[in-house]
Amino acid sequence: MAKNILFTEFISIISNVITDPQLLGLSALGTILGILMGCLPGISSTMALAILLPVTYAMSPIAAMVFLMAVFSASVFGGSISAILINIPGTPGAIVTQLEGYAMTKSGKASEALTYSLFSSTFGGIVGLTILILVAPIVARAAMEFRSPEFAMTTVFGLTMLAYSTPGSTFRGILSGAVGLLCGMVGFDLVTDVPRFDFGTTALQSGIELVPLTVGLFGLAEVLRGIEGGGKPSKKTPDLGSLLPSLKRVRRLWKTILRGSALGAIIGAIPAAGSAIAVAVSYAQEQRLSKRKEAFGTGVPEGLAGPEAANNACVGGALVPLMTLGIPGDTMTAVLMGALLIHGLRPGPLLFMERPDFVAAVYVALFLALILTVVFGFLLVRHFVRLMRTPSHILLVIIAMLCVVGSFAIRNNVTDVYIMIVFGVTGYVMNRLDIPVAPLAFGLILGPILEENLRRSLIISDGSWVVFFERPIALTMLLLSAAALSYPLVPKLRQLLSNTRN
Amino acid sequence: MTFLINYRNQIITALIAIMALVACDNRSEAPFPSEPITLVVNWPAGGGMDRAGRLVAEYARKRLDVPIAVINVSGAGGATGVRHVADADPDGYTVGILGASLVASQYINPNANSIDEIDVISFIGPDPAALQVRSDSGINTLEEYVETAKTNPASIKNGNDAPGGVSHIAATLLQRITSIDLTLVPYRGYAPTVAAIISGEVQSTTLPVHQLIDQHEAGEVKILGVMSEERHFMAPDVPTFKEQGIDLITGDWRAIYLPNGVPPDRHSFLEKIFYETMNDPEFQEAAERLSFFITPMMADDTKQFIEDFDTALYPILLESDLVKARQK
Amino acid sequence: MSEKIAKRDPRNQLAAGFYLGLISFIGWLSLINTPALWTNEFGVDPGPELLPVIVLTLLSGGALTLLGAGTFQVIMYKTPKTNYWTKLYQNTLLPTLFVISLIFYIGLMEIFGFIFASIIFALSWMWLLGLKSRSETAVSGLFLAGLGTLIGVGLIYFVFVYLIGVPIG
Repeated sequence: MAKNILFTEFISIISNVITDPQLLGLSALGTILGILMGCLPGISSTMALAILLPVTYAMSPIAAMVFLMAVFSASVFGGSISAILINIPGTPGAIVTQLEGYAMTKSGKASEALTYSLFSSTFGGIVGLTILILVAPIVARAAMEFRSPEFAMTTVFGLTMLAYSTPGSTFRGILSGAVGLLCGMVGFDLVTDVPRFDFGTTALQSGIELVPLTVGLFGLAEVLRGIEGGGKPSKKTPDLGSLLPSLKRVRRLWKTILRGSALGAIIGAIPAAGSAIAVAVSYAQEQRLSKRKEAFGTGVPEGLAGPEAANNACVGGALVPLMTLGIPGDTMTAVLMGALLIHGLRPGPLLFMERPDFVAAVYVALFLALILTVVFGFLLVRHFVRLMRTPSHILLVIIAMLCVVGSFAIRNNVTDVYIMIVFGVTGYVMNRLDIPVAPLAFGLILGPILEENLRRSLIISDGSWVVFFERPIALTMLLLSAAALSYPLVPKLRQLLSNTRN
Repeated sequence: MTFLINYRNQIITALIAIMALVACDNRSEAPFPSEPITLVVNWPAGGGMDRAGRLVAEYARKRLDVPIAVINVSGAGGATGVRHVADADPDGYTVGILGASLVASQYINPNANSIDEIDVISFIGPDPAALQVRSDSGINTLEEYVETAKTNPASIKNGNDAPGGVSHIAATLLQRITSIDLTLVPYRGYAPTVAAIISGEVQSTTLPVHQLIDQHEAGEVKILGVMSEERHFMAPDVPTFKEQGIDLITGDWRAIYLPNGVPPDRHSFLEKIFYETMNDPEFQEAAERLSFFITPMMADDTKQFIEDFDTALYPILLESDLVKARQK
Repeated sequence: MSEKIAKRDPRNQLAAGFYLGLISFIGWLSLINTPALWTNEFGVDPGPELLPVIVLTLLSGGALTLLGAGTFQVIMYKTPKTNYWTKLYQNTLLPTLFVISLIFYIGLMEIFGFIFASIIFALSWMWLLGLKSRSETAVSGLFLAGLGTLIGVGLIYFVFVYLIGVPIG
C-alpha cells in the first residue's frame, strides 16, 4: 500500500531536489567529505557520520538527510580507495576489497581496480536502494525471522566457506582461520562477563577491534615487506590508463555484481549483521563459483566487484529496518536515526503513513549521493592514483604513520596501535611462512557472531540443540554447510565406489 | 621534480598546519578557558551516550569562547574512557560524560576507576529503564507478569545487556524485588535487543522507555511500567513501578565529570557553565526530541545521587557474583 | 602464497607448524590460567570455555600435523640443497628495525606529541631508505626526506588532528 505511494512520491521529489542548488551543493559536499573520510584508515563510516552530525542540527530535515546520506554512501566507497591503493581498508566493509584490489594495484592496474570498484559499488548501491523503495516492508519482516539460531548456522556456513577461500593451502587456511577465531574470543565474554585470553592486562579486555587488526595484518605487513630491500620501488608503476575499462570487461562481470548486490541488500537488512559479513560471504561465494579459483588473491576482478557491490548494497539494506520498523540495524543507521530524531521525526511505520514525502526524500537523497559518488569518484580516482607515484621509500613511511594514526583514531586508544603492530608482524611472519593471512581476518569477524548466537540460541531453547533443526533457515544453512564440507569428498567417494565395483 | 609541482597545494596546507601548531602552542596565563575543551564520551560514536555528549557540547559551546571537541574513547564497557579522563591533566580542559556503567564497572572490572577517582560536576538526567512485553504474550499488567513468572519459573525470556549492563541490572533488580525467576538472554547493545523482542525471540525486555515507544504506540509491544520516580514524558499513559506497588527505581543516567584536582575556580566555572546549559530551554527542547530526560543538578546533588545509586546497586552485584574487583 | 603444497620445502612445514604450535601453546596457557572459566556454573549456557577449547584443539592438532608431516618429509626425502633456515630470515633486518622504531615512535608521541615524534621518525626513515634504495647522496636524500616529512606529517596532522580532532596533538 505504502510502497506505491512511495514510488510516485520518489519520482516527484527527485525533480524538486535536483533543481534545488542548495540541496545539490550539500549533497556534493557530503559526497566529497564522505569519500575523503572513508579512505582514511581508522575513520569508519560511523565516525564520519557522527563527526558531521552536529553540522546538520541547524539544517532543515531534508537538507540534513541529503547531506548525511551523501556522507554515508560516499564513505563506503571511500573505504575501498585506500584498500585498493595501499592495502589498508579504510572502513570495515572494505576488508576483502584489498585482497584482489591491491593485487591489481601491484600489477599496475590501480585505475582499473578503482573503476571496477566504483562501478560495482554504484550498481550495488542502486540495487540496495531499489529494494528499499519497492519491497522494504516485506524484506524487513523476512529479516526479522533471522534470529540467533539462524545467525549461528549462517556463520557455520561462512566458516565452511572459509575453508575454500585459500585454494592450494586449504589446510593452512583453516588453521589461520582458527587463529582468527581465537583473536575474536579475546576480552570479556558477552554471556558470562568472564575475561578470556587477556593475560591479566587491561589492554586486551575490550577485545581486538577489526580495524587495527586489518590495518596491521594487511597495511603494516605490506610496508614491512616493502622495506625489506630498502624500499626499492616495485617495477610496475601504477597506471593512469584509461579510466573507463572497456564496457565489455565490466559487462562480463554483471552476474558477479548482481549476486553481490542481492547478497549485500539482504544481509544489510538483517539487524546487527553488517557489511563486513556481507563482503566476506560475497568473496567466498565468488571464489567458489569462479573457474579461476586458484588465481584468487592475484587480482581477479570478480573477487573485487562482488564484495564491492555487496558493500554498497548494504547501505540500502541497512536502511530497511530503520525506515520500516524504526530499528537501526548497525551503528551507522543509529547515527542517522539520531539525525532524524533531532528534527522531531521518528523513523518507523508511522513515518510512512504521516510523511511519505519525507521518506521518499530520504531515498532521493541516497540516489543523488550514489550518482554524485560516481561523478566525484571518476574525478578523484586519477588524483588518488597519481599519489601512488610518490617515491616508494617516502610513501612507505607515510603509510606506516597512517597505520599508526588510523588504528589510534578508531577508539582513541594507544592499545589499538600496539595491537596493530603485533598483527603487522604476524602478517609479515605468516607471509614468510607461507600461511594465508585473509582467513585470520574472516575468523575474527565470524567467531564472535557464531559463539554469541550459538550460546544465546541454547539459552533460549533451554539447552536443547534441536533448535538448529527446527527452524527452516537454520536447518538449510546447516545442510548447506554439511554439503559444502562433503563436496570435495564426492569424487573420492565415486572413485572408491567404482573401485569396489570392479 | 613533478612530485613537487603536483603537491604544491598540499605543501602549502602542510606549512599552514605546522605554523598554526606553533602559534597555538604557548599555553599562556590567559583567562580560563583559552583553548579548546575536550569532551570525552566513553562509548562509541553513534550510541545514546555519544548523542547526548555531542548535544551537550553543541549547546555548552554557545556559553564559551572556545570550541568543545568531542572524542570517543570506548572499550571495556565504558571503563577505558573514564580512565582517559581520570588520568588527564586536571587543568579543566578535559571533561567527560558518563553513565551508570561506571558504578557497576568499578566492582566488576579490576582495571576500572572507582567513583572516588573522578569528580562529578553536573547531572544531565536519568534514562529510566522500563519493562516491555510482547502484546501476544497475553500479559497486560505488571501483576500478571509477576504471576506468570512465579507459576512457571524461568519461562519468560528477557532480553538485556551483558552482565553489569544497565538493562541487565534492571532485570536482576526486578527478579530480586519481586522474587521471580526469569531467563536472562544477553545481547550486545540495545538495537539487537529491540530486534529480539519484535521478532519474538524473547518475550520481555528491560530497555529504556524510548527504545520501544513506537512499538508500544502501535500496539505490538506493551510497556508495563517505568522504573522511575515520575512517569516518562514520552509515555505518560504508562504507570511507574512505584504506582503499581513495586519500589523499583533504576536505569541509566548521564553526568558530566572532571579528573580529580581541577583548580577550584575552573571547577566552579565549568560546573556553572554546564548547569546553565542543561537549563537552557533550547537545549531541553532539542534533548526532548532525542528522547532525553533532562533534570539538571549541581555537583553536590549529583554526588549524592550517585552515592545512593551505588548503595542500591552493590547488593545486587554481590548477589550476582559480579563483585570481583573491589569490595565496598 | 598460492604455492602448491608439493612445491613447499618440507622445512617450511616444520617452521609453519612450530609457529602455529607456539600460538596454540600460548592460548592453552592463558586458558588454563583463567580459573573463572572452569569454576562457575553456567546453567543452560554451554559456557565460555567451550569454543576456545574446540578451536585450540583444532589449532594444536593442525600444528602437530604440520610438524609431523615436515619431520616425515625431511627424513624420507632428500631436502633441497638451498639453506632454508637462512633464507627464512634473509632481509629481515630492516623490517625488524622498523618495528622497533615504531614502538619508540609511539612512546615518543605520548611524551612529545605527534608532530615532534613524527618528524624524527619520518625524517630518519625516509633518509635511510632513500640512501639504501636510490643511492641518493646524503644531501639530496636529506632534502627529499625533508620534503616528504613536511608533506606527510603536515597532511596527516592537518586531516586527523585539525579537521577530525583525533587527540594525538
